[in-house]
Formats: sequence, C-alpha cells, structure tokens
Amino acid sequence: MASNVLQSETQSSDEDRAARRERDAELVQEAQAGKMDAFDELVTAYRGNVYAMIVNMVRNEADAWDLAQDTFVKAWKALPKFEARSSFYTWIYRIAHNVTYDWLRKKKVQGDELDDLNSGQIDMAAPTAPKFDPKPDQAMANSELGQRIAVAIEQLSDDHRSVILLREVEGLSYDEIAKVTECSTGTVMSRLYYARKKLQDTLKDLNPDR
Amino acid sequence: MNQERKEQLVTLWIDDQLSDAERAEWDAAVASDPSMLEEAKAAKNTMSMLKSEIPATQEPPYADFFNSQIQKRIREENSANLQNNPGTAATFSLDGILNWLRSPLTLASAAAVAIALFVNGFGPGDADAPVLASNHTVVETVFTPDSAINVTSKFDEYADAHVILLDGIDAIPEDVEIRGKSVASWAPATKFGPARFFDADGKLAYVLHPTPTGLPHFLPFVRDI
Repeated sequence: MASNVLQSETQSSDEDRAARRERDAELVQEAQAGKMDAFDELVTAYRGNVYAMIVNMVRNEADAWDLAQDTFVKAWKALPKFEARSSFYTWIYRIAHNVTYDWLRKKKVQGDELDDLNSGQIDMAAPTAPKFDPKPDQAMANSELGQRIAVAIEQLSDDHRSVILLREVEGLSYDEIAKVTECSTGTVMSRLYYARKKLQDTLKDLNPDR
Repeated sequence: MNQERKEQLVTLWIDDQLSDAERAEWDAAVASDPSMLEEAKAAKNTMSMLKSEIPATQEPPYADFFNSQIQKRIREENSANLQNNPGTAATFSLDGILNWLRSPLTLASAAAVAIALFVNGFGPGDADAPVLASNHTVVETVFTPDSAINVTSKFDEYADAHVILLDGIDAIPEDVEIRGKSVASWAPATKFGPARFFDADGKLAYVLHPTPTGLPHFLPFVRDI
C-alpha cells in the first residue's frame, strides 16, 4: 500500500517535472526572441530554488539575494547560447553554482572569511546582518536541529557542500550534478560519499542508530 | 573490493539506485564486511534529517522587487552595451522586436520605417540626418515585414555609403524624403508598457505598441520619419 502511494507520488512528480520542462522550453524560446515577460516567468519559477541553494552555500541572505540576482542577469546574457535540448533548470543551477563559487573564491582571496559563520552562529542583531525578516519556512531551519545541520554543512568544503545540497536538498541526479559542477559522475559520487561521511561524523550524536 | 568501488556502492545504496547486478555485489560485500552496512545506514539516517530540515526552495525576500530589479539591471546592461558596442549588442537585443515586426504588414511605408529603425552610426546631433547621405552610417540589420519584398544592403564605393535595396515595392517618388533617427538604447516591452527606443541623448525616439490583434502599431514618434 505504502509502496503504491510512493509510486503514485513519484509518477506524479515525474509528470510535473516533464510538464515543467516543456513549459521551460517554450519560455526559453520566447525569451531568446527577446520577450522579457517569458524570462520573468522563468525567474519566478526558479528564484526559490536558486536562492535556497545559494543561501545554503553562503549562509547570508543579503549576499544570497545579490548572487541570485547575478545568476539570472548572467542567464539572460547567456540565453542566446543556450541550446534547446538542454534542461533550463540544470543550466540555471550551473550558472548559480559558478556565480557562488566565484564569490566564495574572491572572499577567500580577500581573506574575508565568514568568521561569524565559522563560529556557528549568525548574529541577526549585528550591524552588518541582513535586514531581512526570518520567513516562516525558515523557522524549521532555525530550529536547534536545523542549526546543528546548517553548521555541519558549513564545515564541509565548498565542493562537498555543493554536491550535498544539489543531491539531498535539490534532488538532482548524479548526471545533473556532474553537469552543474562540471566534473565527472565518478567525482560526484566520490564527493557525495565523503561529504556524507563527514556529516554523519559531525552529527553522530543525533543519529538514533548510534 | 577497492575503495573507489566501495564508495560507489555505498553511495548508490543510500540513494536507492543499485541495479540488480550491483545489489548482488552489495550483498556479497556486506556479508563479508557488516560494518559497511552500518556505515551506510547511519549516513542514510543523517541524510533524512538533513532533507527534513533544509528547505529545497526558499523565496527570496521581497520576491516581486527581486524580479523587477533583474529587469532593471537587464535594461541597464542592454543600454550600456548598445552605447559601448552598438553592432554586437543590437543584434541580440533587437531580435525580439525583429520577430515582432515580422508580422504581416501590407504598407510599403511600414517596411521603410522598419528598416530605418535599425540603421546605426549617426553621431549625436545627427538624429535627423538623411539615412543614405551620411558616410558614417552603417546598416547593421535589414529586413522587411512583407515577405514579397526583398531587402538587402551593401556598401557602395561610388556613393560612399551603405545602400539599402528594396526589391518588390513600387518606385518611391522622388519627393519622398526618407529619414531616420539614431537609436542608442532601448527598453523592451514589459507588462507595464510598450517597447521604447531612445536616442543618444536619452530622448524617446520610437514607441512600438501592439494593436489588439497583435500587430505592431507605430506611435506618432515613428510617423515623424
């Protein structure tokens, strides 16, 4: 019974995804012809995923907001080169991934590490903290368990954090992650293995089986 | 079993992606090393917790403003590109308008108007100069909304100018003066308004607005040509 429900949900999810891709292809075609309304619809469809991925990578809402903006502006500029046979959502993730990596790299070069994040806490009262109000869907992530997990994710390397978020949070396949991160499927699986191992080690006291 | 294969099998097991052959391989590996299964189970539990705590989607704060800012930045970049590099930037930015204008129009004058829109090369202050009289004018894009009319352009050394050839329309009377305005930037049509074209001084040069039937409608700015 549970298996049937699961199968039905999976089927429905696959159908939704197929419909989404079909709609994306239409919108991309219109956007490539210069229709801003079509591009605006794509932004609306993917801004939540893109923003979530970036905010989980950089752990700062204001920076994530700017980087998500950069992602879509870059996408618009690169749209003429986008090939219709590709999946828009994999493509937009790749741009978001590159934009975020560039930003993280620059931060490191400048020696401006996210000190407040390494300490495991974001001081929302700090003068430099983003002036964004926590949203209801963030309440869970701001719970004690959510905080522990967020801190554990932050402790991963950029490469490991990226594959974990793309796989576990965004639900991308190995092949899709390989396209987004521009590496081989074997590398993706290896990174996943070590990222999971590290997370499991960091969070082992939360694991009921241990 | 080497380490790489072990990593692959553990990863595939956690993601429920083992094929039948891989499952047999996995069962054999676990039988000889039960700690492998314990390790994989613990990692799977941790991943379940992670999934339940980290949202896959999170709307950016001020989502409507987020969209409008993107549109604003794109318009600004398009304008900057057109000013810094008129040739290349115009080619893509105007594609949408080109497609739009390809809707069937029957007036030969509309073809002339459309052509005039995509002539670049006038310097500031030359906005009202004749299209074919300036030796600085470069015709970058030519097309006609009427497929029965063939339009081409080429540089004519004798005339020392780019010449537009319209094949298929009635002869244009000699007393008809064809003039154009230089387009330095443009703002695409949005749900808030029509596509607008600006001259080098940022003044509105042309406005294109669809009729209720979807055909392009040239507002008076264009009819001044």
